[in-house]
Amino acid sequence: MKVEAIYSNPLPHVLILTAIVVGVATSALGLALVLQIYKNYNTVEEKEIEAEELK
Amino acid sequence: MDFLIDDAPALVVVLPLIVSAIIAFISSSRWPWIISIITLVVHLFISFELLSMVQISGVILYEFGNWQPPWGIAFKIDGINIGLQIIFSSFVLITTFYSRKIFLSEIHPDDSGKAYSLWLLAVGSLNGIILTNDIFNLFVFLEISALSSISLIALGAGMNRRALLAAFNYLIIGAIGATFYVIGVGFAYSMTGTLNMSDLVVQLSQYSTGQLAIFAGMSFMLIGLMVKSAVFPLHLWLPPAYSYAPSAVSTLFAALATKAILYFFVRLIYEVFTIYDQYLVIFLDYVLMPLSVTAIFVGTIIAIYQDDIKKLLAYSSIAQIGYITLAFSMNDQSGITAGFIHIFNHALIKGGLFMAIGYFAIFSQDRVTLSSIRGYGQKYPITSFALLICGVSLIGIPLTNGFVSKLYLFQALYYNHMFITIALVAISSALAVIYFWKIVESLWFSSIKTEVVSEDPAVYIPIWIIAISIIVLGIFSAPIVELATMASNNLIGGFSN
Repeated sequence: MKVEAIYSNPLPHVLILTAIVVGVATSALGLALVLQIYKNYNTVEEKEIEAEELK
Repeated sequence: MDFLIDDAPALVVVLPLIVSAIIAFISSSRWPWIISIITLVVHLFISFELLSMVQISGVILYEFGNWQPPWGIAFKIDGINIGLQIIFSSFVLITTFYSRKIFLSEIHPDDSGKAYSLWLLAVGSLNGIILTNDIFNLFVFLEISALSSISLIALGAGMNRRALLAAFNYLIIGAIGATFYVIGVGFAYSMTGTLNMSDLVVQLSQYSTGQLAIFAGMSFMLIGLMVKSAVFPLHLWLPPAYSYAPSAVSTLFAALATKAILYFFVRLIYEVFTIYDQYLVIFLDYVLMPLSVTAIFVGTIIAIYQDDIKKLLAYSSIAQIGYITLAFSMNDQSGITAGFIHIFNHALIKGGLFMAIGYFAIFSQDRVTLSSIRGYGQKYPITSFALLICGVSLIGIPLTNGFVSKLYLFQALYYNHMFITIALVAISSALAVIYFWKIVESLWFSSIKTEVVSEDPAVYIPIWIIAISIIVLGIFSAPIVELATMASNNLIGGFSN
């Protein structure tokens, strides 16, 4: 008797997983940058940073 | 040693990535540099090995983990991308030699392990971008190169805290670009079920009349790559990123990063999506070409008004990317050849310029501005003269490689009967003289009289290697022109209007 194997295509899962991992890495780096910006400017408000840079 | 031959295509990319993971933990200031140099020499050796293999047996298809494409990831290595890769790797090696002194003055010595780790990560991923034959794999390399470049740019915060803002800007804009690209990949995959570029060409032929989803996917991919390669008006991340990054990093990225992505951009247009030539011709003629001409003018004119020299060079990069995309938008063999020639030549020119300015940055210990380099021509004659050669080449004076680029660009424009554009390009070259003259003027023609200061051979020798190759390639341009012609012959096959 022939049994039809039903399976899902693994490739899209791998792609989404990779995209998620990349996204997490990007967010982590972004947050690290925000932290450094806060340490250097004592604020994360865009307007205050701009005002400080124009001084 | 068999694996060295069999797996050479993988090693070219994997070797820098593995070493990068190791040297991140070394806290000495010298060893990471030495290990990077050794790695890059081995890397260059493997690249030459690959070149000889390609010359013997033609195109090499390397399947990762023996998973056959279109299921597995494949690298496709032909005479063109390995040639491009060898030029890039040699440049990276020279830049790495140069980078040590520059890094020491700009970042904390204990951080140099991390800096070189990121450096090798960027190099490995840029090689991946050049060699890969898989559109999703490209996305991964694109992101590795973006994240490592952002971190490297942020290292400039030790000198000027604005580097952090520049890096954050790049992160956000770059992430949007990458998302556009990956959305495009999703559309292409949903229609064709494949990610392999060679297979994509075959699968797309069943939709020869065009499908909205494929057009959408194609547009998303192209726009995403335009963000990443800083094509006007999507270039806003580039000037601050290049000007606030540590000088060695600016050199590496100004020369290579956008170029590697432009190479893939061209492959996508002329190799993968060629069957939609009617749609692509509209894109090239009404989108890419006007944008390129605008980029040339906007970049050059903003550069004229800059006081900060690194910023000036960054804006001039926008203009130069404009020249490259203008050449690529011409949809014929002469245009693509001109584009490739300018990719090689501009990498050398802009790399050399950033190197010289980076050296000046050590002395001034601050931003290098037109007023701060006054009299440097007499003070640091060796570096200044190399800078002069690079700058003259940027304008396109005969006997330099910049002239070869301009010559082929004019020729291509002439073949395509774009006489107005010829005039515009000529005017923009004249405008480029203005901003370069401002640098020359402050270097040599200022009233300040100074003594000659001895310069560091570890820094000026790499700069002079670049300056001499600019002249040598300006006189014997045959190897570059041959490689570019081969590349365009390969790409243009099957794309005709």
